[in-house]
Amino acid sequence: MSGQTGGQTKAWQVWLWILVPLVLFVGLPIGWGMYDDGVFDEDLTYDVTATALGAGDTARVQEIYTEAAIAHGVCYGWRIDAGTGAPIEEGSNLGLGVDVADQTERCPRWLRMSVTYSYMWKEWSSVNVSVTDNVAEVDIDPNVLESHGIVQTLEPEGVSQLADILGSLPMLAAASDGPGGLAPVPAREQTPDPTASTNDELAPVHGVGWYLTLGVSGLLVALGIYWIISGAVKARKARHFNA
Amino acid sequence: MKGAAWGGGILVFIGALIAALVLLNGSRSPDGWIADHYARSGDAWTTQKDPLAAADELSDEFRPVDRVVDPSGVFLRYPEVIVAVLAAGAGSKVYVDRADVGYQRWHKHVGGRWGGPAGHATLFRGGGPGDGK
Repeated sequence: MSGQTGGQTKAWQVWLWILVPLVLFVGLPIGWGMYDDGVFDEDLTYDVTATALGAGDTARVQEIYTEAAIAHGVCYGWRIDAGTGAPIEEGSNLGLGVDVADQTERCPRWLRMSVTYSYMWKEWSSVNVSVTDNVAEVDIDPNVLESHGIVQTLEPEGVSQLADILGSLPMLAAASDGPGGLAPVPAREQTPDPTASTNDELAPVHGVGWYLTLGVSGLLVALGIYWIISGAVKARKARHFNA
Repeated sequence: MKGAAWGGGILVFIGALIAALVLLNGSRSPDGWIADHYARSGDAWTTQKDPLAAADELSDEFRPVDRVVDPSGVFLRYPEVIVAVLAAGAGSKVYVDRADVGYQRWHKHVGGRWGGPAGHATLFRGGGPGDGK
């Protein structure tokens, strides 16, 4: 009877040592890869609420463009097609929904960045960035964004890149080589933000995945040590019993 | 005993290897490299490259945790430091600060994205619905 129980325990242990590594090293990576590929994502095709920029982000872009417009004396605008079926998102330093190209009286000189995404099979499959302007001394090549790693035109990293893409427009304008180019927009150091909360702090660098991976590695080390110690104890007991 | 020693040893080795890779990945700071490759100017370093090119070069050498691009330059976040690559004439000025000091110094540019109330970021952390995975 005890032999049968021992055999069952051993078989259970063998299955455990097969299943645990399978789950850890095969199941989890495959599952994570599927999640990363967006297999479980909601399909946003023709979801008219699926805009590319959130409300807070839109306000921030407008703030950036407003400051740049003051510094450069030209108007800055944006135009985004999320590719999901949502309406075109556009705005400028003049306001949300205001296209700088239509405001030639208020803005005789303007630049507008257009970002067009393709959304297929539950993912952003490509992005096209272009700049339209009527400023003679500015000659912007949006390809520089790709060559410097700000944007990937194929397999874009989703709309998370969008803020950086739009935020770069005034800097690209200032860096353009045309005669009488625009001056760089000065950075603002130690500028108090009256809207910031009193406990405004830097966020931790590492997310849940980092701690989870560290936890799994710690678990493996602990299991290994336990295995070694329990093996040593069993061997010692067996020697003691045989003696 | 031999089987347990081998099996346990392999598990310990794999666990320690994963932990070492996770801890070492992205933990290097670029301040030493910057000091070696750029010219010192006051509390900053200077380079002839424009901010996008200089930040790209730095990112290739030391992969940042995150990057913010705005009209005045490019801000790179590392676990220990924050690097600001700002437009200056035809080139750039590069500032390196301890992370918490840099967050306060460049709050106007990175506040809300790299921090916020009780350390919770509120801006530019993946855009709107669906993050395009």
